[in-house]
Amino acid sequence: MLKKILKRIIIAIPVLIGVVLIIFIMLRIVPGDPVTTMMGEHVNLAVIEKVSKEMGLDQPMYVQFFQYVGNALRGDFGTSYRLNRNVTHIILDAFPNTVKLSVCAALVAWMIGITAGIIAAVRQNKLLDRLFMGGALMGVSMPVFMTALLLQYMFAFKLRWFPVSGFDSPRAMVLPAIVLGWNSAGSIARMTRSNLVEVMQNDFIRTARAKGLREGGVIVKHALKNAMLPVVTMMALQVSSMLSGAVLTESVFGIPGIGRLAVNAIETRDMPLLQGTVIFTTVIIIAGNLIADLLYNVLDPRIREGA
Amino acid sequence: MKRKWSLLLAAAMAASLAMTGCGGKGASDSGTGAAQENTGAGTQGAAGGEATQGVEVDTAGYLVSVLNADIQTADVQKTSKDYEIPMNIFDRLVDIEVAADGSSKIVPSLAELWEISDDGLEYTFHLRQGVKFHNGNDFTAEDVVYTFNRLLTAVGSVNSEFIDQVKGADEMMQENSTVETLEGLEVMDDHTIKVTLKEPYAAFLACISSPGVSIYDSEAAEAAGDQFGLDPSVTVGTGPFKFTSWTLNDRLVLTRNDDYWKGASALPGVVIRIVPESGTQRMMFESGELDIIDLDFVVEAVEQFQTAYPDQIISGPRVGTTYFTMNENQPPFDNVKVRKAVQMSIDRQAILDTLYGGRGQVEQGIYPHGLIGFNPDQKEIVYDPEGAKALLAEAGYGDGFTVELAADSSAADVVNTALEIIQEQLAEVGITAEIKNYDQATWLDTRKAGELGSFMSTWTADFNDPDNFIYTFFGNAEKSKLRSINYADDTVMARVAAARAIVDENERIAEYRALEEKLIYEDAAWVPMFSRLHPFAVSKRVQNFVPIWSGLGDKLYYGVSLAE
Repeated sequence: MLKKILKRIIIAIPVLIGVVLIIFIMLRIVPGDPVTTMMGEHVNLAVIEKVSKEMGLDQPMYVQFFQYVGNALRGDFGTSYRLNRNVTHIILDAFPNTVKLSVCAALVAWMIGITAGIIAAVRQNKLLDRLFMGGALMGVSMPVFMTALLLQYMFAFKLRWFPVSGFDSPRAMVLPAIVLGWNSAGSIARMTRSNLVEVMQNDFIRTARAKGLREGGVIVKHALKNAMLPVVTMMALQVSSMLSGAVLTESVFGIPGIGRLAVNAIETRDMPLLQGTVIFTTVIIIAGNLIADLLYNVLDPRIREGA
Repeated sequence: MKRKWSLLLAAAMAASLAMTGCGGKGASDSGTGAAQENTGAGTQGAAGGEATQGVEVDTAGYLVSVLNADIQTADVQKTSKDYEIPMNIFDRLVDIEVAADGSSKIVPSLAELWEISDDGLEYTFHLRQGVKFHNGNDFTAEDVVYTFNRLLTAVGSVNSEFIDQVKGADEMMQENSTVETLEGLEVMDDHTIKVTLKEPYAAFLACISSPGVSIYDSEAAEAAGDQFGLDPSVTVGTGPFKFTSWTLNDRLVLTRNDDYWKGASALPGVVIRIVPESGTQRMMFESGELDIIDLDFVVEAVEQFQTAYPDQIISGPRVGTTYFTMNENQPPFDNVKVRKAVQMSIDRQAILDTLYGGRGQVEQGIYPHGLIGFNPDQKEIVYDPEGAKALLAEAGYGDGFTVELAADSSAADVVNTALEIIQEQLAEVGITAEIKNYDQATWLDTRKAGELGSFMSTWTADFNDPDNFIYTFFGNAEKSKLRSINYADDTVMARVAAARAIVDENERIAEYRALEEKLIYEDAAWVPMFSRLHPFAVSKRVQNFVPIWSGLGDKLYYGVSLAE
């Protein structure tokens, strides 16, 4: 297993360099540069040239690229063009907010998703099943932006149950968590339900019931473990995708997380900041995939014991 | 099985510990001593508590304001847009005051009185005594010298054009220049300084009233280096508020300067939230979480605000011209008859009424209402589609032609809706207009190259002088190209540049008005649209908020108070 992890980590390095190269080229090819964008209406050629030179933007592309990679390998990800601060600090300052949001959303997604999935499977084709699957479908199909605005309008603005924006208090975290978690909850609910339904039809379930176990015990002790395997790996992937920044949720609720950072960086052609956020999120996603794989190994005895 | 689970759990805990550990280290590296004390409390407090630079204060009783994007820096020499913090924490040598009748004049600020020589070249400023910076340092003439030098040569400085008329400025700004101090500045004593210009420039006083020429404390700015403007604890000025703290992408806090030379502000402080979504800003205002909102960001809802909060809308005139361009490098806009025809095809009053509820005035030239030099007797551009069609036929375009309208997708929705209305109006005279969408950076870049199609934008006054308008767009061929106007008559542009040096004020204004008529009425270099009022909405407890004289969005908090 250790060999597998090491191999993954080693492969990650060329992936990261490749990602950096692609972003670099894309930002250079696309029209627009950070200084002109910064000056806006006050465009002035002499000033733009002077500041571009000060920022090292007049050097040839390959020089800038190798300088960046060289610094990055030593842990120096540069200074943001627009925010004038160390990129690593900016990202690490914003990341805890995204983590908070993701953890809350994941909890919402898991608790509601798994519970709904189980109940739906057990009460298959009855009213509860239809209701929960309807809710799951909504979660999966409605665009996050729409959900965010709708919930914000109804519960924060009209009913005043929650604050409209911000992230300071537990109350402020409820709506963003629901918005972000609903989508994941939907997928989890549907997958849990269909896996559980399938597993419940197996022979060993009948055996468990015949042994005299109560239905609850049958479900939890025997059926669930088998059904949850693919769901758990999906959960790991969902978390890593949430951690890469939930741009829309962060924008609507005014949460200063890394999703918003990345979008701002693109709009202002802030190369160092964009590279930093992309590298960061790539690492998270690679780690997330790795964890999902490992989980699968750990949880499924068939794979573990090489049967 | 159990061992594997505990291993995984341990790894997960270690990973999360490492991440929070990194976050803490980052904050203490970037913050000052004060910020380090706060990292402990920060993890539970406001979002990104670890990311707060400066000092955390109790903000009870503070006014809550909002910006729709985080500022780049509070160092006003390095930004051409983020003026709100600088206008509240710094002072300038002079300020602009608008009287009740709309006329404006230059009033003393850090400079108490001044004399101008007869040839218009020398300005002697007598500086106010007893003024202190927020760190206790005295304000002296040395600080003015330092500020001007830094404005011309600092890395990242973008506002040098406000003082480039001072003698020696051009030499100092040359690459590899060894000039250490501005030749045109002479310190007579601690509170007197003489400024000599390279040639007469009547708008000089107006220029130094701009936010970009805010006066810095030489000692503090020099010591802070590149942290000046980023770290609140070292960003000091003489202004009515101190820059207390800055939580990136979340909020900025200003606190009252109790020793302000004009008298302490009635407001104990201001919390400025960063909220990019206009819908969210609206909801925050309506639920009482916000004391003041700039209605420019929710233009579609102004009427609703006016109905819901009739006594809480405060509007200021905008000394700014909204204009529509025609790129003379893109035929048939090189033909003056075609340009005149377009001027006559756009019903500007209708656009003003439809999109902005009529809150403004149609403009006929370059200088808007409220600007020195504004000509109340200008020749009017009449909306006359039939006349336009005739003119087009005369020019050989009776069958019409195609033109591109360039929309900046980051601009307010109303601006892009205006383009759609213009598209319809042009269609009525046979011109087919296609709207093309650009992202902001591409739009700006294409415009700078002189290759952008027609667009609508607004230029709002940096300082109150016609030079700020006409020279910006028609001062020389390069400036005209940077705005994708590409006006072709170099003789006229030479006159615009020469007008800066006219000493006799009446002669100068007459020349500026003549140039305006030539450029806009005769040569149809652009289509002047209108100048709009700038409405703000304030909560019931806000008193005495007055929009800034230029109608820009930067809010001045001195003089505002909160009713109990």
